[in-house]
Amino acid sequence: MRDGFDEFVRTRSTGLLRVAYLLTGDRHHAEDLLQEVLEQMYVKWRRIDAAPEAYARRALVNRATNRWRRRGRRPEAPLAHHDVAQPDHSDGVVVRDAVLEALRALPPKQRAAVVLRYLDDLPIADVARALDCSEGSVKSNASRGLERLRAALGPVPATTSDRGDR
Amino acid sequence: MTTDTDIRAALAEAAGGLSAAPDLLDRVRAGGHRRVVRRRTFLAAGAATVAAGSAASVLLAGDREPDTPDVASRFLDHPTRGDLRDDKAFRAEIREVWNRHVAGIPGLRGEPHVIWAGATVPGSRAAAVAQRVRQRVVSSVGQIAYGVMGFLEQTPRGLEAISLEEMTTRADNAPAALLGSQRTVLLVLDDGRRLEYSPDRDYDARGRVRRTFQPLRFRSDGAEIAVVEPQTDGIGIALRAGRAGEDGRRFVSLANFSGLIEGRRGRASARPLQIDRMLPGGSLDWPDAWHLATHEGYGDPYGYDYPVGDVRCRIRGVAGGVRFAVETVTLDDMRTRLFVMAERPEPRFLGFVDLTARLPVRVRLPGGRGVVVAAQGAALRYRAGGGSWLPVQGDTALLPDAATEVEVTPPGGRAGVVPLPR
Repeated sequence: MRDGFDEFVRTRSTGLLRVAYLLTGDRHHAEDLLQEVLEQMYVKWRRIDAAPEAYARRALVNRATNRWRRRGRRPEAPLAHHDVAQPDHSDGVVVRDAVLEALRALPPKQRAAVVLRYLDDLPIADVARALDCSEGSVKSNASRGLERLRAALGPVPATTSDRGDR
Repeated sequence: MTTDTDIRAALAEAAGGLSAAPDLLDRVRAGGHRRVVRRRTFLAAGAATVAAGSAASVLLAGDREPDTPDVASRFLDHPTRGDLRDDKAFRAEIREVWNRHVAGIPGLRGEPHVIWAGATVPGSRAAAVAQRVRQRVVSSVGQIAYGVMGFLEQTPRGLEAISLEEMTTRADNAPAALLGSQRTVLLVLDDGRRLEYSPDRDYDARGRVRRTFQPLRFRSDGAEIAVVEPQTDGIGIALRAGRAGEDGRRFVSLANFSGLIEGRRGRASARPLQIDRMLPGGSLDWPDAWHLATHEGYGDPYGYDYPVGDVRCRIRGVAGGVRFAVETVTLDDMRTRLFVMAERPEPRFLGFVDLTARLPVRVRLPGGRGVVVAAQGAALRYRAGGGSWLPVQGDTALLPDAATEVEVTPPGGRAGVVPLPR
């Protein structure tokens, strides 16, 4: 009855969790968000099984944006309070905190455009579908978001990863 | 960090340590199954749906273990109240209707507990029922065996269940329901939160929502019944808790809210206005303060608004080197407020607009910066002081300040001229 659902969750949930994490900036919220979206997909699976990933991305973006808007009305603990349980000054943690901080400063649409375009490597058309906007709007949001991220992340030291372009 | 590749690497680095929990699939399947049951229950009941309490819970695999505590709720732990609590025939009818209502829920335990049974208005009766469920959930106090709660009302077709909600410890359940064919009877049960009641919303001179709350004085049977204006086309009443709940909010749920909005879906689908435009020159980074939703007072935090997301207008742009935003807000009363922000993100209320008008949005910006006009799907032309008609691209535009009239041709309609405000 729900052919392919288990396989979809097994193979795609980590990727979707990472997207949710960068959209919300909080691991626990990201996990809650993903579970909610997957439960919703379980119910609707027969109607969405042709393009489940697109559905999941769109639902994650919508829910993360709504959450962000609600949060805008009420003070909330800074991201670091949620996610850095132990003092840890490794390069990886520095990068992560800087990225989360920089993403948090972006408007929701720019943040979603940047995450989907540059974390998930999605084509512009797919990002437009996820964000329910035109491809032109994706380009401008991604480009502005990228510009602001670059400015914010400038001082972050290179990590110890072996990426050649660093 | 300047290249796209760097950004990709930084994003991957930031999220790369995460992986989905090994039991995610089990949890999703359990939660998904529960949602299916809810939907089936909803379909069977016609108007009721199981809604989560204010603190979300997660269904765990397996039944209650011996050491799992039961859900704690005053609705389950207090004896039956209400003037019909001793009416055996009515209580039997309540149990029969309730049992049919919850038939799809696995793991129901024991007998249903009648929280309250009583007369509401002459000739009508209502009840509230709760029942424990054997299955375990994670709640804010750890694993518990949860419960369900619902309201029943007398209708011309007989006694009917109109809501179903999950109960977990410390979660605030909906203590109120709107009853009667025109939803003119508000039944509220005392849940210990010092509830307050507002009969209707109003707006002040700045377009902000204004409500007056009065503490509810419950009768000796722990209920309060108020006769209210018909709430079928829009819910004007509101309830507020005297203290914040587990989620930090004072919002009080209405048990049959889902059923109420089911009955009027057609109204929102009329889609009278749905415009979200960034006009040329306005493509800057927009701080959130330029969105009215981020300003306090313009929404109705305690009201029961059906999300009229398809009735919205938001136009942003730059005029004379400064930003502006024109935005409408429509709550459940379907009265649409029009606001403008110019230069600074400070909303200025321009009054109520008629969304069915030929040109619903016509806002002259301060400082001679032009006139914002919008008419969904219409073809527009404008002129200044009886001069020639000039074309407008699209159904939304910033016209020169000299513009005095707009010709509006709605889709499939005839052209008409609308004067612009001075």
